[in-house]
Amino acid sequence: MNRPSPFDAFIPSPEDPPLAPDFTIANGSDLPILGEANLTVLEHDCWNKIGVTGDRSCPELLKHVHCRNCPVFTSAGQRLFERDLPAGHLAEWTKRLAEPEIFAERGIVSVLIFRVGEEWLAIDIELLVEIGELRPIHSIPGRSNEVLVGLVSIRGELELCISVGGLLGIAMQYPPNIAKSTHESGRHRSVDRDRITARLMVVSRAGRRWVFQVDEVEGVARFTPAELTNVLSTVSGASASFAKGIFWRDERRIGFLNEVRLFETFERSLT
Amino acid sequence: MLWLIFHVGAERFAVRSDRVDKVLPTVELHRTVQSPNGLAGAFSYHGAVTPVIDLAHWLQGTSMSPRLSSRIILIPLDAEHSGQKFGLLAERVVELRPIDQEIINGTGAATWPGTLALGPVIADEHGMLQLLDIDRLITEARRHELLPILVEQPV
Repeated sequence: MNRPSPFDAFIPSPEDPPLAPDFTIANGSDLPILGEANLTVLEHDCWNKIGVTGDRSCPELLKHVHCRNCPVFTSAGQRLFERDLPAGHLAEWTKRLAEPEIFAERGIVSVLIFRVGEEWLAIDIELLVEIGELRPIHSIPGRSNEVLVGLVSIRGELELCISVGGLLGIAMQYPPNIAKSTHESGRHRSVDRDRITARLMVVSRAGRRWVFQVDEVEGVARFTPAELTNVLSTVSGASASFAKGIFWRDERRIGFLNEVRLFETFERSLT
Repeated sequence: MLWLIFHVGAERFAVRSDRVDKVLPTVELHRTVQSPNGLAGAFSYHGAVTPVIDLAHWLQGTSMSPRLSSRIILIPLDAEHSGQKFGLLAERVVELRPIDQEIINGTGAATWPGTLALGPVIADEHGMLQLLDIDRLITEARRHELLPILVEQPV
């Protein structure tokens, strides 16, 4: 199969039905321009014939390596913008630019929401490195404890794995090392691995990376400082002391973790 | 200094990027009665009446028909980016690149003295490029009554 090119969407092929008339072009702003494609500007799609999505016989490929570096491809892209304005374009922008300017609220915090046991928690998204599938965690003889679970291999690097459940005193739905147990039970798994929502989260702060297992990762949310309230006395002791505050999402209470305390405790679990 | 390169008809122009506030898509422009040559019209930029200058019409007597690549380069009247702004009609505003001050000051650049000396012209690999002196442009635009009389208009 040919590799997709950024212009594929604009080029009708004989087999394919005509393009939908309302495709969008990103015009460098967050607003798409709706309109009918003027496809005649792209008659000479050499990149599909002799270029990287064609038979690669173009002599210019030796010089440019990929069509995207070639001035012919660039000028074809520019011709797309030399088209007449689609209907409604002027009126829409006139209206938008006349509207009062909206300034983004200050101090918005982006967080990653995840679940440990019954508790919904959130950490600053800037700490997140990646979210991965469960992997077997290797305990460290004599060093593993309730907080420090062991070592886990992330892309060939051994990282320290922490149990947030153990740290906060929350009973986890999927206890750490479920990957190992399901792996070892082979074909007669007691738990269907595909249905496990648990994930490994890799976080990093001040050059130090940690991995911890969570029962479920929901996604990214944003909240304003005004939404953050102090931890209520009803929140259980350990997680209350690790939370900067709580905010609400979809009638769920979410604890916003204090990363400084969290990482300090991670460090302490090593000693 | 980075310069924003754009086209007006067949000609290439550049403005200092620090004098540019925003690059906007084209909008419907309100034309006043007996608009002077070069004034494309005015539009509401978040409530502020903002004049738009059509360099093609002003300098060359031709006018541009709006294309998908047409833009309005929004330029504040003062270097501090406060207060009133005006727009410049432009096409193919796709390139931002550094131009050496030595080229501008050196023999590679030519400036024609005269009433509409809007800045030096330099040559590069794509041809001739006129570097617009924004302060000069504003002075000339005022003289040709392209900019409206504003409250607290600085002299």
